Amino acid sequence: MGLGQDNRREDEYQALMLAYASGALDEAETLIVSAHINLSEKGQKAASFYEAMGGVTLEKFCEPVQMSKGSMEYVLDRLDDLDKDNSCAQSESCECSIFKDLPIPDCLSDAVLGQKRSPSWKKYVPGVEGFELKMGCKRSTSKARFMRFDPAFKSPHHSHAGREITLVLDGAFDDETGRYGRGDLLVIDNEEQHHTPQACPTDGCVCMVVTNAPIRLKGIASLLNPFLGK
Amino acid sequence: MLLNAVMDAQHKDTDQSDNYLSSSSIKTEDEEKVCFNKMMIAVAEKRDKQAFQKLFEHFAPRLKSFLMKGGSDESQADELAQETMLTIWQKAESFNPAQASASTWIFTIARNKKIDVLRKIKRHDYDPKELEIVESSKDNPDQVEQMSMATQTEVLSEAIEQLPKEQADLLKLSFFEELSHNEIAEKTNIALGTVKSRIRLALERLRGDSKVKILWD
Repeated sequence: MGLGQDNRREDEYQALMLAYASGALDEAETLIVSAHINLSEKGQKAASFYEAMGGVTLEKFCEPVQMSKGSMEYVLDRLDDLDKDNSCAQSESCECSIFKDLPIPDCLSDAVLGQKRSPSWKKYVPGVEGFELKMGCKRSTSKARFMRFDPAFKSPHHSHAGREITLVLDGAFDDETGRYGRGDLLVIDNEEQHHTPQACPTDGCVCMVVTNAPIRLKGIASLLNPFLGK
Repeated sequence: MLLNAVMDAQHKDTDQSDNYLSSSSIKTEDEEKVCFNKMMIAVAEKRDKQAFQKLFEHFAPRLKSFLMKGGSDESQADELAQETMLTIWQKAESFNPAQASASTWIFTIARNKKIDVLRKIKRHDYDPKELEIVESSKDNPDQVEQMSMATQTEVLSEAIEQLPKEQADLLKLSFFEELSHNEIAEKTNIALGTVKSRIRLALERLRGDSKVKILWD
């Protein structure tokens, strides 16, 4: 544990933010990172950094290729029509009641409100409730869930076959490397053996979790398997 | 300072704010960057078609090149570059020169367009207006941070050029083809572990670069 693990997590985090900026993440992963950026200054900085790298790629490493004849005229001709269409079809923002008073980023409430069947919290095991967020894109290989842990709930030891991304929305949790609070994003890759997060003893923890491979639980905790992986 | 110049320009009379359109003067690259930002603002605030045309002339051929490097064929790249330019016109108001340079903002529009079209999903992007966090520039009206937006491209591209070629190539590949590490490994026949460590080294190096640090920390 300790520093080595910290460094690895930071590397995974940076790699994830690069993948976000370059557009390599699937729908569920993009959603959780967008929410993180909304809630975290660190996230915002990292996103701006890697997006600027994208800007540099466009500006410096793409030698111009002539556009086909007439394309500028075509685009210029359409500008006025676009402005006409733009007549403020602003959708009213609906209340996303499932989180009660907890403020959550718009991208998340939109995703929850956009579900075909309105989700509800289901009891996974004593002390843990959650629900899955279905993705619109069939090619999205990751699964997104919201989970709510009772105060001091200690998650069983588990290891990861793929990548697990956790965003804290309320309360906090602690694990071997420290405390994670609202807006913090934790990325755990397949090489990390296990971690044992514990929800904050006073406030518990609400988080969003995106996994792209089943989580392997050990011992009695494998009871959680049907809910977490598949 | 540069940003202030940009902001000031909007409030001055038309004679002055239209200066960026004169092609007679030869501009340094830095001045050009500021010009693109000004053009974006002119498009947002005045629906200035002449400024938009200049942006088209500069960016559309680069967008096309960018898309072709990502595997689009020529006609698809033409079409996507046009669509991206139309979205730039529509969304110009959300461009904020204190947050990103014009080329960075345009890159994000193109990236999202590509995802929309190629993967048929709607990208849930963060909206800078919705950010919960406090803008640090408000507490600390330091010019350095604002000036950085016009020069970031230069500093960052120099830093990327100084990376060992195999690292720089993988970084560029990440952006051209929006590939994950796994996909890059498959495509290049480089072991996944090597891809990961090259990118990690590249990112560490970039973030450790003294000039890049000043701009970003």
